Amino acid sequence: MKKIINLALIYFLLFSQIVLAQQTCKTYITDEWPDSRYTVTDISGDHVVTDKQTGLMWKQCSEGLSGSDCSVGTLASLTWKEALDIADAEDFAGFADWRVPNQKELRTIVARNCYSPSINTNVFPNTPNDWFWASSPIATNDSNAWIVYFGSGYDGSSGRGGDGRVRLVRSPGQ
Amino acid sequence: MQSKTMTMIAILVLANFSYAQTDLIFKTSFEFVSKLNDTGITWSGEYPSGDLTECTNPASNPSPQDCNTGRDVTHNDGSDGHAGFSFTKLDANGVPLVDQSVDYGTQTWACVRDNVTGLVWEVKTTTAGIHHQDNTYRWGGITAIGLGHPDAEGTYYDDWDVLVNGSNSETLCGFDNWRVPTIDELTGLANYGTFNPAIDTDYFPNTVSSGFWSSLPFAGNDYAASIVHFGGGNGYNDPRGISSRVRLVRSPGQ
Repeated sequence: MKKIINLALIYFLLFSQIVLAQQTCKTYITDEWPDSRYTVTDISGDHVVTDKQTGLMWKQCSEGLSGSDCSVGTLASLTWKEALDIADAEDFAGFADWRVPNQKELRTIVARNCYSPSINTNVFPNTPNDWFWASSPIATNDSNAWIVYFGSGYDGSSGRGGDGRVRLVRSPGQ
Repeated sequence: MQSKTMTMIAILVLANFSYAQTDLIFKTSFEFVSKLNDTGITWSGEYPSGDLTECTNPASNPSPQDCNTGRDVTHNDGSDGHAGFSFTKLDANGVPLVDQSVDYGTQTWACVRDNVTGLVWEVKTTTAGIHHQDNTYRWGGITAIGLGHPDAEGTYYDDWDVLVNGSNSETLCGFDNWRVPTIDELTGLANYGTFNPAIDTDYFPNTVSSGFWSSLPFAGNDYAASIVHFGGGNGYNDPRGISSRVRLVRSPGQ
């Protein structure tokens, strides 16, 4: 009996993980975020992504993760202040000018033809369906800051002391 | 890459290539870097709560944040729009107003050119007609993404065709390629430095703090499409059958 329950549990875990990990994309929504829009560069093991449309350079992995498929390490949960502090101290791929993206920059990597997650997963692998911080305080609530939900791409705000994910950005040539 | 592109264009122009040829080469040979608007946020947020009126990072939250970088810092010129925004008022023929500082009550304008993105936007009016600020439409007419696509999902309503077709036939501001904006174009216009409405009202008067449709269907649910609320400037999804406002846009070079 115990064995059956264990098997059922294993089956459930496998099945639910497959469901959760399954990205869905719609062919009738124009794909403005194809692989060809991005350049992925390995700089001494540090992986960065250049978006040729915006000119912005992104860390390929969410904070806490590393490796070419962003599967190494543990996804970081950070308050708004912790996110800003980490960016300020960051030295990655030979650059020290990393920062938390503002809300408009963060939105540009949302691939709106897809959900779960709403991002190009070839370019930004292992991106969780979760909330990512922007560097932008929100005018409507002085306890909150702007965020983007990468599960489906909509945005909003969250308490500055709450947990969020972070993907850092820099502006080359500035 | 950007400077390389600009150099190449300069060379081509000097060599008396036609503009069309330059444009073609520009698009096919080089990567196009499109300019993003900044957020309009010129003040610091404290931690865990409270906001300052200026960009002076507080002891509670000393690391750089939104107000420390971008056009709101490098191009903070209030004479052409709030902080880093740069707008030009255009009359109904597309001619820039001679006096750009005039207020809407003294002299009206029909469109605004965003000098950062290059987009030209419709200005809503208080006079009766297709541009009235309170006209609303269900989602999905001309220029909605996926309209007519064989794989299109969900219902497409044609309510806003009257606005798109009407603006094209009257050649609003000299243009006949008006369309409903993408979600990023629409949020790009928002000014997050303020709210109710979250837009520069010196250039965009008659903006009701309500939802404005984008051209984007919501991938996660074919019952919905993406919309920006100009009370706060946030993007979300609403049922396509809800009647909401539309502000048209057109791109240069199309």
